[in-house]
Amino acid sequence: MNCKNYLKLINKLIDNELESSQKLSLESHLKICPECFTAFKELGGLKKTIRQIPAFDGNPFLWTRIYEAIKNSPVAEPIFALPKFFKTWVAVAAAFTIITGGLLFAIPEDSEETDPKTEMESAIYGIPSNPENLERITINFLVYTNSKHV
Amino acid sequence: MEKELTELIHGCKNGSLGSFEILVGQFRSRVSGIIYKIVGASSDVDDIAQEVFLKIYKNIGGFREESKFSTWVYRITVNTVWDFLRRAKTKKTIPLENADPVFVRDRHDKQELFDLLNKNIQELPVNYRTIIVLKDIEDLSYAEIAEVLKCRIGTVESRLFRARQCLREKLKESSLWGDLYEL
Repeated sequence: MNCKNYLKLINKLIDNELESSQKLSLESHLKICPECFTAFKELGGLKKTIRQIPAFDGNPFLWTRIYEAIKNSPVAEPIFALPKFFKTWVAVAAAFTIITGGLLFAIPEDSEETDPKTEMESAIYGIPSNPENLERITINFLVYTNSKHV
Repeated sequence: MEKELTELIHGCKNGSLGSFEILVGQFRSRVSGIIYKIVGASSDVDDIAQEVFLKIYKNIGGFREESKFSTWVYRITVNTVWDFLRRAKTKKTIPLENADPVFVRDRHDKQELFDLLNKNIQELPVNYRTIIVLKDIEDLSYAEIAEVLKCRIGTVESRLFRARQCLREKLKESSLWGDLYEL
């Protein structure tokens, strides 16, 4: 291994990210290589100095700005508001499913040919026996009622 | 501490602004510090920090507690800062405000050395600057940094190595170099 590779290991050493086997190899090298030892001292010292730089605390009143932004901006609505909206649509979807299911179950299977009179009575008094003929039933109903009045 | 944080997160997910306020209080300094160190201008810190916390507020419902919350916050912070710098079209460097050249007095003050260090960190490319901030100032592990930057650990290692080499070479030109690393 050459000094360039050892230099990379020095970085990991000062970050406590070096495996033990590599650590032993590096420590042996540092004892015999003054350039790498100098680099180790400089990089370690530099990191230590950087860590001593005073922290930037920021604005202690930042929350006030954030709170105002949340209150004033509809875009900033959190995703956790979704459940309310979601519950309404789930209820609507469930109601629709029940009604549709009820309609489908109410239709007899062999509804291709039905007694027109039965159809007419269904149109007047209840759910059409064959929804596909609803238009025809409506027209027939209108004709039927008109004929009654004639 | 972790348990308290988990409770705060759950509170936020349930719509508690009180929980979110406490969360902001806990992370405000860290977020502001990272922003300041990468951007360099304190006048922009509040605007960017506000943007970061609004993003957190909006997306906390989708936060899966598989990774650390702080890593998630750091990721949002770094991405928001990079977006800001892209918009400002000053990706490379933004000089420290009121960054006067450091002059040598009889005895080097610590603050002078910190100013010199800050100035040189600010002059690094933004990728190098970010990784120095995350590692040497925020003390994240390589794995955490990889998660924040969405890259491999090997990339973190090599980028950090190049960033430190770059900073070291720049600082070696300064007469304060000996004082810097022996502080």
